[in-house]
Amino acid sequence: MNTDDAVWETEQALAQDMSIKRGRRESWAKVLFRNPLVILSCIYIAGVCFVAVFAPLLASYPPHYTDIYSRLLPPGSPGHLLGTDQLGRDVLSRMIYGARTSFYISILVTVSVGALGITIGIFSGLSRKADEIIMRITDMLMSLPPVIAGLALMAVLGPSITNLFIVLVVVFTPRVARVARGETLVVREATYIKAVQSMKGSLGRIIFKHILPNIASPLIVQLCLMFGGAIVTEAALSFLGIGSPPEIPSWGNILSDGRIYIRGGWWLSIVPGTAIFLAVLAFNLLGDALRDVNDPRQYGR
Amino acid sequence: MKGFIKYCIRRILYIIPLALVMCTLIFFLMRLIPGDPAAAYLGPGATVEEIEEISEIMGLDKPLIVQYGIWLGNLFTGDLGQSFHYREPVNEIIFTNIKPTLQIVLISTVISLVIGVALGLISAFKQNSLVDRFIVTLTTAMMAVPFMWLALVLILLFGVVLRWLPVAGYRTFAEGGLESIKFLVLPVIAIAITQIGILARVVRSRMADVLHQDYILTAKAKGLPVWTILIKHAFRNTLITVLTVTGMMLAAMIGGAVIIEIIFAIPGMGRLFVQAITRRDYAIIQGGMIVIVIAYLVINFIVDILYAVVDPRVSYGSERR
Repeated sequence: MNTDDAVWETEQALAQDMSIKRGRRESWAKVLFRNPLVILSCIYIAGVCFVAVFAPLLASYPPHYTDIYSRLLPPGSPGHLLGTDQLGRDVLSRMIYGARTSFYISILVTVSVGALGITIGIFSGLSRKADEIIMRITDMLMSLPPVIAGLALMAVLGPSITNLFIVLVVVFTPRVARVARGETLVVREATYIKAVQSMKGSLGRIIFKHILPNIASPLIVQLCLMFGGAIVTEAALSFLGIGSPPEIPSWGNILSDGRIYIRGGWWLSIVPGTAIFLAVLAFNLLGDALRDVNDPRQYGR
Repeated sequence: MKGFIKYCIRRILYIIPLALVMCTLIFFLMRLIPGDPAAAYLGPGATVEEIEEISEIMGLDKPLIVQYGIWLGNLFTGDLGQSFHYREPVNEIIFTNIKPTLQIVLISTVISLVIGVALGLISAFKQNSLVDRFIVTLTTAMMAVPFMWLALVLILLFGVVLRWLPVAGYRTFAEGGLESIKFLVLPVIAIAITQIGILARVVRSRMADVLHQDYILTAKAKGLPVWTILIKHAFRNTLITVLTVTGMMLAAMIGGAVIIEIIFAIPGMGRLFVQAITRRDYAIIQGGMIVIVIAYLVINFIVDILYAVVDPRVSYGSERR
């Protein structure tokens, strides 16, 4: 019997022990969807994703179609459900294409930051030598407020979607790495890790089969909150003129363009702002719900 | 006490290299911005000779490492250099522009702390009551609201429709007296709302944890009055969390203030930054970022020191009090 088999058997025993505990609980999906707000959040997120994917089919106008004779039409005008902007562009169509940009960037950023942050965090949590250096670097990166860091980087790189992505990854990765490191430090000392180590379980096995699953839940919550954060940061950078470039509509730059017309065209800022608000709210609620599901202390309260 | 001083010194020794590395990073980052600042300064009609002349005056013709050395030397004496555009010392420009930003950030911090902690405490004391549910719903919405959108909604509502408050602008207290407060109401609300939400939620969940601890039960069993238990025993233990959140809050608010200043046309750091970037005014971007980094590091240092004051369990390293 080789070591990996022994490790496997121990894992099975542990899993059995866990499943006894799990048996007392309801399934996590049931707990998650007990809250109607969470269901609504999921519907909204899924809806926006759908709209983003099928944007060219759903939008009645191309995003840059200008009609100078129908400028600043209020919502409900014939043919323009959400009105038109200062150049006569259809707001609904721009919002649909904007969803594409905003969600595309946020998904990309969340996935990249998740992968990068978790890798760095686990590495830092396991290696004492690397920990010191990595933590100094994250301290440094976090000593600039996200908007200021974004401002400086975008000034150097110039506005484009790729650079926006780089900026958001640089800004958010240290924060996720910190959480991953903190959780790893706690898990590292757990008896079951010592058990696997004592049976010469490989490092890869320890990381992927033991550490990762045990630090996953706070990180999923963190990433959920970060998704909303990425949308808002993109919008904030748009206000500084360094968000998505003007030729690519995003919820952020539609909102920031609309601010000048607040008197004559309130819908130009209220519509994209509300869309962002609801997206952040949906992800926050989902994140909260996931935390409650994973936190046994919340049961029975 | 000796341990405490040692702890302070250790924290300072930690911050200095961090600040130095950040300053170096910022200096070289600024040099990566595309475009020649001398050319940007002179405008499109400049001749090559003129550009060379200005470069020499600005010190841009020297090797980068020499420029860095001079700059760093000046930095140690507290001199952030000369602005290409304004032809004034950066120190003075930042000093005038940082006042509105600081004002907004500090007022928002105090308001968020008072309201956020109060909401959190009420929510925790009356857990699962109607009030608690209301506060939880309210703070959930507050945390999700994009502050720039909120600012625009506030302008629309109080500035355009109701005409109660000015839609934009800024007056110093000397200029406007009490009138100057009117200009700050909307920006402060816009920034504070998110932070109030976060603080209230953090205080609520921390208090809920603390109230389940054994020592609270002991205090109850001893027959201590409810308010004594809540304030002296429970709240004291959530102070640490409040401190941590306040530190993070300040960083978020500096970023928020920059955007809010653009929306409300307030002559602060935000506007200065954006103008400096379009004008390629290195010295100002550099100086502004350094001021913010150092402010942030100092805030963190103060938070660390306060930890030690509030929580006697924080160890100062090798020895304990």
